[in-house]
Amino acid sequence: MEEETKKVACFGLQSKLTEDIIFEEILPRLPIKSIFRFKLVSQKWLNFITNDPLLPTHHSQKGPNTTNDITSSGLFCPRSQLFISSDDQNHQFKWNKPEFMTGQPVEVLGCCNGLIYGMLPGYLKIFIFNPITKHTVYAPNLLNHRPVGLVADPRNPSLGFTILAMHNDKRKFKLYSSKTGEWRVFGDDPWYPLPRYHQAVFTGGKRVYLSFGKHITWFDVEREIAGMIECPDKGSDIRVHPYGQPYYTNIGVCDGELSYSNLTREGEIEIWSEGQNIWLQGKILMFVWVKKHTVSLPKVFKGNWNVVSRICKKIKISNRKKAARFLAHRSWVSPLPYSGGEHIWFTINLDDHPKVFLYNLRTKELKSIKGDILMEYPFFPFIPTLLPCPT
Amino acid sequence: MSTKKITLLSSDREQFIVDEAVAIQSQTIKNLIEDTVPDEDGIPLPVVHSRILAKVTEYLTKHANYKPHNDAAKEELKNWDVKFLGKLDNNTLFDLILAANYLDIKGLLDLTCQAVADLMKGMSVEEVRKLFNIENDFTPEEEEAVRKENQWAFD
Repeated sequence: MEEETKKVACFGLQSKLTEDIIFEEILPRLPIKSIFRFKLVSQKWLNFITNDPLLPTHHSQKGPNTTNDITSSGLFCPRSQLFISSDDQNHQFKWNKPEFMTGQPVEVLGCCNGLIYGMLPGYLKIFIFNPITKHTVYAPNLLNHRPVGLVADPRNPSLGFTILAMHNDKRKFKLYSSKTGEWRVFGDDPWYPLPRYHQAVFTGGKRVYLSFGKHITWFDVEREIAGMIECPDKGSDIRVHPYGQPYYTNIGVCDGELSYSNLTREGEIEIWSEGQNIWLQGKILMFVWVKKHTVSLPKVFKGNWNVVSRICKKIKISNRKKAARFLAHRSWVSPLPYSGGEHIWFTINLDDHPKVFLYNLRTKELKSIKGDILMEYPFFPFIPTLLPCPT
Repeated sequence: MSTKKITLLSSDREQFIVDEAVAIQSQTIKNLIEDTVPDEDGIPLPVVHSRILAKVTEYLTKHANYKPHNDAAKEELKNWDVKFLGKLDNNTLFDLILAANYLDIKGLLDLTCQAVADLMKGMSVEEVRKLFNIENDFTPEEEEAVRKENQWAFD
């Protein structure tokens, strides 16, 4: 840092660069920390850095990647607090925890639109935290409430945030709205029990989806109704994970809509997304799934043999075709949430040595993710934001 | 391979004669060649001074004739870029960014903007204001509030 400063002192020059170029081409290339420091340059800079919705996107395309700075989109596992980034370096890492989370048993529950949420010790306070800007807001909780979903969109701060929680005893759901500052019962009917660790995604500005077993429960926080939908691969025998999620299915968010990934018996990863829904009397009558991608894993393995050859040595099958088929089995392969774009994630967990893989739909290239492996479910799609948490 | 020559005319009416393959790496020049009847003296680029156009053509010539096929070649081109940047003072660097933006040369724009970003990385707020000639329009109270809210960035 010192060296850079010295170099600068000898230049003294007239600037002619336009703001367009500075803001769109140069700022996104700086580390997040420098960008935030430069809010102080002028009112214009402050306004741009605070309010530009495209800055995080540009930054993840152009910006530098220093370890433990979450600057690109990827996946987040709340239980192990692990990030897997989909940048060029494709690595996974532990993030830099904020002060309030060190030294006390904080439970991280999930994330939504780049914000992480969880409970402080004692469970009486819920925190919502932006891991990039370190901005944190809090909401009160009640002892018998267990938050299951966060509804927050930093691009739409006027809506505040909503927390969906499950009442421990009565199997009722409750809503907390930051606008009223109060908890209230959601709908009239008691709803379905949820496993302790489930996966929740938030889409379309108003709906939360919770996935478990063969069904996905949805909550429309705007209409205040809830319901269940069948997964697109209904009828397949489901082997449910201790945390409620079948090993070989996962939900995610793709272009603001629900996505669903599953692995077929033939070793194909299928990616589905939400089609046009038809409402009848305020309840979902039909939920239409649209298949977006089908990826045959045996083919992927055969085309990227160098990447999986080490695993294949372990299974001692020398015939490539047979080995590729064996490796694409549901017993050890789990697709991870699909977030749109050209990346498909999955894990292979053979003899307790899990590995995360990233397949590029366009280049047909398979990569193995670097870093210490610590596999725990569920995973949430994560897209970073530089905007503050809504209040 | 085409060896057709293109004449570029800087703002001070100096002529630069380059291969067409070199020139059309600039999307703007490519469009000008396709869409306009050329001036007798060449394609006029009224906002680019000869001092800068010389640098631009130096960059374009290197990159047009150098298609790296392996890592070693890529490395060599990268080293050339570093050397190319090393010879520039900040004024020229800024002018080059403006030219790359106007001429729509993505590689050069990326290279030069990254150079400015690298320069800014370790700078203080005051140094950035000086670099771009920006006046501090915060009151001391506002400045204190912003600083407090983003304390982590100043640590």
